[in-house]
Amino acid sequence: MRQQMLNNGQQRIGKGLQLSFVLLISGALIVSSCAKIEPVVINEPAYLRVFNNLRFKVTVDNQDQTHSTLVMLINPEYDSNGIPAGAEIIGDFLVTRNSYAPPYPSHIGNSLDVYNPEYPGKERVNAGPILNGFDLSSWAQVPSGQHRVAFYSRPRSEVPFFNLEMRYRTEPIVDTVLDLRAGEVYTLHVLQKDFNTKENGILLRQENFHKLALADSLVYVNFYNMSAKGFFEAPHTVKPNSGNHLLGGLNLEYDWFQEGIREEMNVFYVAYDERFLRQHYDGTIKPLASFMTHLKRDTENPATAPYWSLPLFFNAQDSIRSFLFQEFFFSRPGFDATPESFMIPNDGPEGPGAGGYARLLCYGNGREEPPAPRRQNYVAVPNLIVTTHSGEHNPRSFATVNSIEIVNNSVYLTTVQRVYEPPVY
Amino acid sequence: MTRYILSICVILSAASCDKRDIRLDNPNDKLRPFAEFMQNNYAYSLFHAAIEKAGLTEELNGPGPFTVWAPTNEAFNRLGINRPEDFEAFGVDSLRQLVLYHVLRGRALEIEDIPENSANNRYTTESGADVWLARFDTGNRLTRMFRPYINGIMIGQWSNRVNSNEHYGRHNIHVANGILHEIGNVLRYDNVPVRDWLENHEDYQVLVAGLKHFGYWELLADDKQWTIVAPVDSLFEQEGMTVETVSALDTSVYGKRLFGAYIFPVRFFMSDLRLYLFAMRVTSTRTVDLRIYTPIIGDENFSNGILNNYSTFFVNRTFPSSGYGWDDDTYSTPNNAFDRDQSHLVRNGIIHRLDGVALLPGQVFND
Repeated sequence: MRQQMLNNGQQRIGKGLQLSFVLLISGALIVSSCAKIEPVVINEPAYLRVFNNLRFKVTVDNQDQTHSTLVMLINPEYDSNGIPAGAEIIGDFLVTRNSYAPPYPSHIGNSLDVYNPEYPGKERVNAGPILNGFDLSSWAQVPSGQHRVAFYSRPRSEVPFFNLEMRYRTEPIVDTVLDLRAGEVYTLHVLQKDFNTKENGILLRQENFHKLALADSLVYVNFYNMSAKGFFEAPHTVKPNSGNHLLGGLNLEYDWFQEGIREEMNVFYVAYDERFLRQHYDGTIKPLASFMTHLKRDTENPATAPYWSLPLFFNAQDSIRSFLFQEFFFSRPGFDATPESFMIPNDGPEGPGAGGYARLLCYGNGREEPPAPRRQNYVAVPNLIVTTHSGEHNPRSFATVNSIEIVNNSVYLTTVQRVYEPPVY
Repeated sequence: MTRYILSICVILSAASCDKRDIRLDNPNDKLRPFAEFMQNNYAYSLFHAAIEKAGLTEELNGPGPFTVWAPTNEAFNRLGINRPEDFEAFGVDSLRQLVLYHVLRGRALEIEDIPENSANNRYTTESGADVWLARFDTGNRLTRMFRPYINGIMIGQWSNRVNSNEHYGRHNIHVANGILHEIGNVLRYDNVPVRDWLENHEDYQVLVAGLKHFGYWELLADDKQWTIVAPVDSLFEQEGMTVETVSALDTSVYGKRLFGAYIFPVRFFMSDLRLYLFAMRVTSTRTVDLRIYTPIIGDENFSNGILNNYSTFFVNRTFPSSGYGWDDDTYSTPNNAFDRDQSHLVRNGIIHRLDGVALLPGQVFND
């Protein structure tokens, strides 16, 4: 009995010692290990997202000329020779954009290199807030007001812009002043305005999706054709490769956009239900289809294109998970759309297809093939409907607001989503 | 127990705080400077001998930073230099130029600093002459592979093994005063114009006679950069073309392209051709992939080019910018017409030896 009490006493002393050790160590760690972070506050910010739409073909004649990788300098400082020495905001390593601009900056966790397919993208900046329900985390906060904005073309290497050789820092491709108003949402595009003169420029678009009365039970999409003047008419040989992803892309002939599209095109949509495609190969169940809009080439107009709506669900029985996916058809006015004509490759102003027709598939993550009928060699981007685990539903489908931008022979999809409930496990 | 868990949580929360990166402010003093590194590395004993003979040991052990492109012993062997004593035949000054042409001062240039997928990145070496760096990326994210080149020579690998799928070899080796990359060929540069180089080499006299006779000789004096693909005399003579017969050709009957075909109005190393690839649509469904294609100066109805395989040189009737037609008057050399070890960089261009004659007089009558 006495022995047991002794043991207990020893144990208590041991425990007390252990605890004080633990406390001592944790105290030391608390004192030594923390770093204080000063939050950066931007008063009255505007929200800015920047895309580099430049895509050049390197040939023997132009190999020493402009590179398609850019650096963005906002309010640059120049040294006595007129060479930029620093800037208030720097967006370096800005490479040609990806075919899909996701609704949140996923690049930052998904790559090991410095190359940034958009600004802010991988940059550590103050991200935009949730504005009228829209998640602006892909937008950067920048101070509102007038800013001098310069873009310099730079070689694609991991050397920061200000450490590059002097010869890369002498001539900006764009140097202008932008007026950004507080609380507004902007997308800034660097693009080629004229394919023949190689004139480059920018297009600042003030977005309005957060101000419109958009229903959260409909998918919205608008269209821009920001191709350079003369691109479609130019011979195939001088055109750069497109940034399009081809499903099962073995035959480049079926990149419908490879020659660009005409100045004016009509846009149609079809929304298929995946379940019915699996069951009815013969097409007895008709997809939802309609004429959507008339699209004109424009690299100057900063206005937002009108949004058109698509259904989120196929019918009233569905309310959580949508099985719809979309296909968009671009055809020149008066194009005789027969099934045979759909099979003609779009091969430029001279070929039999004569740029009359192009189709864009929005399915899955943009990399997987939809069920039969097989759509091999199709230009594909992700589904406009975001389907993910949210709340108690796994998965649940959400409507989004989208822009489909055609720049020369590349198609880009930008998706903006609303904030939704985090998953409950 | 709860207290244990709590205290562990406290420790974890403290330990997980943001910390500064560890930074070594003092360079590792166990690294050796260049010349010493060379002396201690038998793979570079001949380069070290050249450094010694040129009296550059002290300079290359001095403060840098330097970037050195170090040729291996095999690279010197290929030039007939097998022992350190073989450098006795060289003058100190020319050896000094040779060594300094492999040295870049003021910058430790890593392979990753070379702009990606670009050629013609110019850097001025200590000898005063320029080297041209290029880097190409191949493969996807998993099979990604760099192909860095200096003056058309692959960095870190023998240049005649460019088609192998092995990773390239030693590069980005840090020494105390800079960085070192291995190359499998000695860099050479002749500070003479294209014309002088061709005239000084006895193998190319038929080509020289032809270029003179068809009026290209004055053109090549220009400051512009040229690429000459040059068949040697023996190949011309096999086809019955000698200095005498070529000089006697009637230029009003034979097209200028007979010799103009061997000139490209731009300087390129054979490795640079990786950068250029374009598809000519030759029928509504067929395309031909080309690496380079330029109209022949003075005979623009015809063009010269190199096919997708990097090794076939051809001449044909200039392809219309829109419309079809490929096979008209196309003449080409056999495949593998270029030997990568036989390219010579000179002041205003490059001469690539061409193993084949593309055109014969009977194929080039004026229209």
